[in-house]
Amino acid sequence: MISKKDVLHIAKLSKLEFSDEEIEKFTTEMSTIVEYVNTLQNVDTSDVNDELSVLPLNDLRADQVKPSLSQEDAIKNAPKKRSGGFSVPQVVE
Amino acid sequence: MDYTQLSILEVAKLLREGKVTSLELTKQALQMAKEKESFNALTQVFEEDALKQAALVDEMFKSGKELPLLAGVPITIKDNINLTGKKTTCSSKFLSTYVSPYDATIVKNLKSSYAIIIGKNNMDEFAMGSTTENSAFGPTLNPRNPQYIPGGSSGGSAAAVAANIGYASVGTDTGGSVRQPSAMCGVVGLKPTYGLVSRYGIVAFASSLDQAGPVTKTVKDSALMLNVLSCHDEMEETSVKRDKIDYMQSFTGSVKGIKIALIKECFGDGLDEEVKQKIMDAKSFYESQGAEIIELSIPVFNDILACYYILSSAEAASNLSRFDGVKYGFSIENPKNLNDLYLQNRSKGFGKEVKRRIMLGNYVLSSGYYDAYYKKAKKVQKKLVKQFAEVFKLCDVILMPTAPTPAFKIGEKVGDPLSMYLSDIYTVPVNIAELPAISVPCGVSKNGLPIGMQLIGSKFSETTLFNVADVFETQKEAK
Amino acid sequence: MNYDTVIGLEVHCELKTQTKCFCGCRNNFGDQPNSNTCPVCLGLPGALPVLNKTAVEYAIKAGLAFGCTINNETVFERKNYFYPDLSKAYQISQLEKPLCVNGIVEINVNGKTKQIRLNRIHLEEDAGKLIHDGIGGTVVDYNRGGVPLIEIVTEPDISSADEAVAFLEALKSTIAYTGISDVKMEEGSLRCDVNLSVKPAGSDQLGTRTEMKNLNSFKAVYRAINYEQKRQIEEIEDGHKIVQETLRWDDSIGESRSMRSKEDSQDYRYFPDPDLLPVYISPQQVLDLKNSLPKLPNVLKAEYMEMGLSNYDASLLTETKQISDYFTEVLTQINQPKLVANFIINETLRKLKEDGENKISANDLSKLLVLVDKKEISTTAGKQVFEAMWNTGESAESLVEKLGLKQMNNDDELKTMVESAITANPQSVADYKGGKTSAIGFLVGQVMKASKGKANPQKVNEMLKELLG
Repeated sequence: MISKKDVLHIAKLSKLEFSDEEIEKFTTEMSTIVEYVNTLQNVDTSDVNDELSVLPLNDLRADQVKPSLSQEDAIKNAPKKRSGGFSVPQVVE
Repeated sequence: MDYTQLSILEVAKLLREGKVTSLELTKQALQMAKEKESFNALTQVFEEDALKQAALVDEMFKSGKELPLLAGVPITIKDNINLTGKKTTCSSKFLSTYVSPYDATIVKNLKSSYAIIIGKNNMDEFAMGSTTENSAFGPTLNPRNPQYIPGGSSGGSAAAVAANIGYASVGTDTGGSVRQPSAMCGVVGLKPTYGLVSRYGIVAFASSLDQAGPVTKTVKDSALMLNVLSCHDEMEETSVKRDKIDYMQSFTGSVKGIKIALIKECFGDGLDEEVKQKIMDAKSFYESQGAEIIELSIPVFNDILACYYILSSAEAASNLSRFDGVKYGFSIENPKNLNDLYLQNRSKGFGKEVKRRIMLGNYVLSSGYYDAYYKKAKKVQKKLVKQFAEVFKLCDVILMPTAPTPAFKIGEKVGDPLSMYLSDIYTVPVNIAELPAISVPCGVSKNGLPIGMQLIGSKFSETTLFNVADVFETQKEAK
Repeated sequence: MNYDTVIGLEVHCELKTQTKCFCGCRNNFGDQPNSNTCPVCLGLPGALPVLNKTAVEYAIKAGLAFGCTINNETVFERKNYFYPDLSKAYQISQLEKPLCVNGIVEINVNGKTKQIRLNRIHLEEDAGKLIHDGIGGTVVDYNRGGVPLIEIVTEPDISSADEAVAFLEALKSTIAYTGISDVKMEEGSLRCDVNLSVKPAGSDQLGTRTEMKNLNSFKAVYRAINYEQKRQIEEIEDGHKIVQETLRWDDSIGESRSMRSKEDSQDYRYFPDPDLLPVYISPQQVLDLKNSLPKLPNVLKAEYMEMGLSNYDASLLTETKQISDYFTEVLTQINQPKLVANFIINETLRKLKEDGENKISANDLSKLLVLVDKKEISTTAGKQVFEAMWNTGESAESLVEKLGLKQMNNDDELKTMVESAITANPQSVADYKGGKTSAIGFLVGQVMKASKGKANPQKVNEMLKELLG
């Protein structure tokens, strides 16, 4: 039901890469799961309203500065850091 | 003397009577952690910090200061809860070296109560799983029988408490991950009403379903823990603002006149006979205590698992996108380019189940499928909320199994993800409907494996749940 | 073949709040990298967003300034994609229920007025900054990540580069008045992307459009539109199809380059952010915010023109709120719009360009202008005093005294001077009597010189005319 092409496309969106064998396996597994969740289509939801639970404007956070992390703490876990920032491969714009 | 098998309330009393010190309790808990290391319930142990903390608390006790009930009591917390200066691994290769610069709000609460956090619990990677077999650090074993799973994803929490490593654990429950392992290990597990316990600082799996909850040996301990954990948090928009309740006042000792419902959709195929029997025994017990038993229906009940997998996977896929290896986490040495960096970091850093959920989640959110899956699931969720509301008009609590079977053997369902998902059938509706539920041990299978019963209440009815659960725990013979 | 150009703009505007959109970190430009960050805006595991009330109020104000309808219930969605400057790998934005819909921006190009419709204005968070260090590396600074932005999307109502620039100027001017943003393109608090397509003139069918980014000034927008318009027309005339793509404008060479290849068409998988509740704004709250808006430049301009000022002068006076506030304040003390406008436009604005800071208070300026109005000093003298006031900070009154500029009011004395001038300049008199009316100017000048500027030039003019016949 889900094609290999679908799985490859989703893998791209997910930034995940799989071997050919894994793609085969994934396609089968996902098809089974998707077939299962498809049963939801049979549930009648015509009587359900779209009302949302809301937050009144006055209950929102006040615009007051709170302490930030130090630069050191912010980049502490960075796998690659440079000049106080997070280093990444050159981004081609 | 060996204090490890006692409850929080029991040791709290002893601490105040001066019969034991926090240092002793902590030393014993740490010792137990060493002895029971083979169960693999913990990913990290904080021996030095714990002993230091315990000594400080002992000073406070000595000075006559009045302290919260949890003070000086060793506990563990699941490894997806942030604790400053310690690793938050989520049992994932991706975060195996990540050190947190901040405390989760619940950790702040635990620290304010002077609890002694002796270590962090193993779990299914990123809380995705029902067996704790999905951990990058090896599975946790069921203390009742180490060939069996402890349940998941808070398997390490339940196993630790069952093995008397600390007196309680804080786990997280998105689709049953506190209740189900509690049932399988024979301890008490609570999932509070959504919004009652802060999510800030807990690594998100499914934002609209996640709730932290205590794993304890007794129901009264669970109430004590909820007192500490529950609060309004301004760091979380979905945190509810309510008058603070003292859950220790829940216990009347009686269920006379309480209406307990059995949901007929829960007793079909797939339910293990032994489990069914134990639930029926519990029902009879409650009847004998003056409760009224009624049979009600939630027609959409059996569709909720599908609903859960759509919503939780979608939210998880998005929540886990931040794991790219740029700011923190697993990152390869020489990527060819940016895209390669992302692909390799994520493919190598995440385990199979996590990838499966991310793929499913992005599929149901993707263009062309969003309406049919995600939007539809949201509607089904509303339908369930409505049906639960109808049921709670006619009863006080719902009684059903926590899991359809007792624990199964390690490795038994690893190759069959769908069959694994089906073991969540009784727990996920509770998360979907944002309700509170507690799992209480109600018997043992002929294999000696624990069986748990689940009591579900309407929103913010934890007091009722505690009372009804406590009556069973304290007054029913033969457990 | 004639072509129509169809342009839609997407403008992003940074809001001047104290803190970021979803966390309490400082919203400030130019600090040390990653020094205004926290678990939330860094996307650390476990962190959660909490919406900033002022950001919502500012966004609503922007919508109200352009006549938008404010949605009482508004929802935030996650826009999912991977990029190093996006710490959570999703941007919190708005899709289905934005804060503001349907507005109008009125522009004026070559004397013609046109209304550009706004499709929506919504609130979202900014991404961090990528710093390319030139030696083959990129470094990410998340200070800007999480700063609140409003995104203003127009309908494709714009038809030329001139209109686009007029739109941006009107937008910038109005938003500056509301005080919600600095709207400076050079500083990045105002950014613009252009969507452009062409079609045969009069045709109903829209062409394929391209998107242009990296436009860092109004001039760049102007040049880019003209370039792209020309390029597309040339492509079509050459028989090629326009490729739907995103282009990066390079202003230094005046050309665009393709940014993203076709196969990378993004699926953002929008869904409502489960960490954020929909926000409810009551009609009363919307009304209160509307009432809190100052008078906007287009309204003020119309008022000034009604006072008798020209379109051009009214525009100058409404360029910034500082100037129009100043004008208004001076007017309360001396109700002579043309006189006040004269001095502010020709003197104040000129000095501001040199000095940057207005050295004369509204009160002090009005005192000077009262003197001019009462003809106690001439206008020319007034300008001299203005300059002295600007440089010394002394009052008009004391400077008039010091500089001896009090206008002559003695008519007899004046008549004597006029008669002297007539006597001393027979050639000019002859020229004037001979029909050269402008010769009188020279004579007026001579009297002004003799009186050391104290004579009232109009009176001199009248007297000369009377005496010369």
